[in-house]
Amino acid sequence: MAFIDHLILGFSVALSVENLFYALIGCLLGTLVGVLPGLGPVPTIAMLLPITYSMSPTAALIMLSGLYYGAQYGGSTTAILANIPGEPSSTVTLIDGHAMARRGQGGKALAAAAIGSFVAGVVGTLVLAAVAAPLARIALQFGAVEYIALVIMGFAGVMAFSKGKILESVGILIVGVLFGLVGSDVNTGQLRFTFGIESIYDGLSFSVIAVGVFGIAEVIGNLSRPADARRQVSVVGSLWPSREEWRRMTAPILRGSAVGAILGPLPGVGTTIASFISYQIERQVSPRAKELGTGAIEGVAAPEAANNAAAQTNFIPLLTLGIPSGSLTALLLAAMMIHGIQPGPSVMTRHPDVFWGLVASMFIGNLMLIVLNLPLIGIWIRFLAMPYLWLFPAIVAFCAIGVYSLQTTPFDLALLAFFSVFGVVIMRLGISPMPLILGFVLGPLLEENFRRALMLSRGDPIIFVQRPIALGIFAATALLILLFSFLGLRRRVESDEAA
Amino acid sequence: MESNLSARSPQRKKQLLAAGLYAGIGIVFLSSALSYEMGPLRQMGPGYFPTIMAVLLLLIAAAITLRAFDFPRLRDARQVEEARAEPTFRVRPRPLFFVIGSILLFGFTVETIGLALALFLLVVVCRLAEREGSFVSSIASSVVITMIAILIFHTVIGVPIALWPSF
Repeated sequence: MAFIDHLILGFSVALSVENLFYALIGCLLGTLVGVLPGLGPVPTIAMLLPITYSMSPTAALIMLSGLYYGAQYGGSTTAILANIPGEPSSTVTLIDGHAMARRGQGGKALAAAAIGSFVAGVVGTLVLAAVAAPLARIALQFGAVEYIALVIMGFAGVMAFSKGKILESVGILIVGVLFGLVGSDVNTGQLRFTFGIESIYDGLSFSVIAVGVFGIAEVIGNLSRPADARRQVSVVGSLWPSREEWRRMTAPILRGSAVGAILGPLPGVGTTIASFISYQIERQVSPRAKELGTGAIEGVAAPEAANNAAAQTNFIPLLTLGIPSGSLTALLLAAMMIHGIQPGPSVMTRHPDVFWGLVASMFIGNLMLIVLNLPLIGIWIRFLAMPYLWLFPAIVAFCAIGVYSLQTTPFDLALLAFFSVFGVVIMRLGISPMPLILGFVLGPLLEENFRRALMLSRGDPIIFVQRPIALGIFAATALLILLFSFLGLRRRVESDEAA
Repeated sequence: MESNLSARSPQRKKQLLAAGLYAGIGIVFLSSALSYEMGPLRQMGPGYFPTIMAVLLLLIAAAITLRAFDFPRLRDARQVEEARAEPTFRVRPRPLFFVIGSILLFGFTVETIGLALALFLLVVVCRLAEREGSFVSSIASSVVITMIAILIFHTVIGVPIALWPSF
């Protein structure tokens, strides 16, 4: 019963007054930076890192990781209520989440996100506690070709957002990929597409693009509509999901948790891929697939569960192998080293109090977050339902300062203005910005692995059909596309008959 | 109601504009990408992948153009359906000008006059995007929003930005 002993050890560490306090601080701060557009957990953790010198290593890790998964909760709030993805992983949530909020069901959407995140957080933590080592080994099996297969499966999700404009959507996806390549090339250090602008040498930031094309463009679009046609959050009926809605979100939450727990350990963008893929899965298997995209609770519950489960299992490579799975876990790795803990397989054996204390704190943190977030729902909704004349300058102000606070470079505001105008243009052309974000986030991963795969095979493209896992993913993607084209064809025949 | 795919339909105009946008972006990225090293397939240089993507984008632009000119085989029935459902929406210049202007103004002023004044200015200018509302309520909302934003970003999170002008 080593597992039980470990958990007891973990809870005895995590339940100390000091560690509870830091978990709470982490969760509170995480929720706050998650809610704020622009500012995310990565720059916040970077700012807080020096403060943790004086703390015990366990407390430092508990606080910083609480900030990380707390931001996943907060990010969905902004996505649902303000139509701005606070985090890449909450991008897909805004499709159905914001549609629900406009219909007056924002409370239900927020509750679905919080409950989905909570269940998934617990599932993810259990997975982390029980099968961390084997899952880490599977994640390591994922080579370049498997990554390419996953990214392409994510890209196939474009179909879900294209509303019949397939060509336009694929186009904006590629534009996103190209935007993602701006900055110095990972392999050679060559600066690409920077046009001499110093502040984008490290690449364009997700926040600038997301806040521009979603947040600011939406404000401008809204102000262009007559006052009675504005798309704003309203309050209609109960804030709490009905029994029927509880029933509807159970399966999506469980599916989302499973997808997230499996994809989370993948180094790179586990949480984002997990949320997009779980949304696609819902489009295929949900009995209400047709309602997805128009404000279905399934479309909020599944991706939110997926990204939160992934946010927990994201720690697996860090804790078991000492490999960071993204910029965030790299900061946590730095935090461990600051405190004299050598990250890697030895953490579990040499510092069991740190490892299990952290795992147990995730249970407690998720509990704190749901207790914290559910009562906040009513406040958020009422806040965003205030007169638009008051609301829109506040949104613009928070977006601007949020973007500025990332690097405190004034030029970032010019970039924000540029992407806002770009967002207005594509909105006017009726093109969804969702594929742009998808391409931007996953594009660099595609290039990196494309180059790696062909380097490994010495330029022989046969490598793309030699890996069984990748072939499986490719086949699933092809099936998705076929299913979609078949449905499209049938609709076309029907509409021809009707005409 | 006239057909949505007739000669001067808004639908076709949108398609051609989208094609133009993609072609423009594709050309800008392609011309830069071609100046970077290509390298062989087994050791791709920094120019290889962007070139593929930019060419793909140009092909998409071409396909959208072809479809806009009503090639029956390329026409998508769903497109027609959506075009009927899609409400036409125009961007008004006033909000575009003042919202974008307020962001740029914030960028120009924040380092010289400090966060507090720059934010206040941003909100005042941004409010002009909407004709309604009195001067007093505009100032009041600017003060309130500025104070809340400073409280959150400066006091709680502690973002290192100067609050006041540094002279």
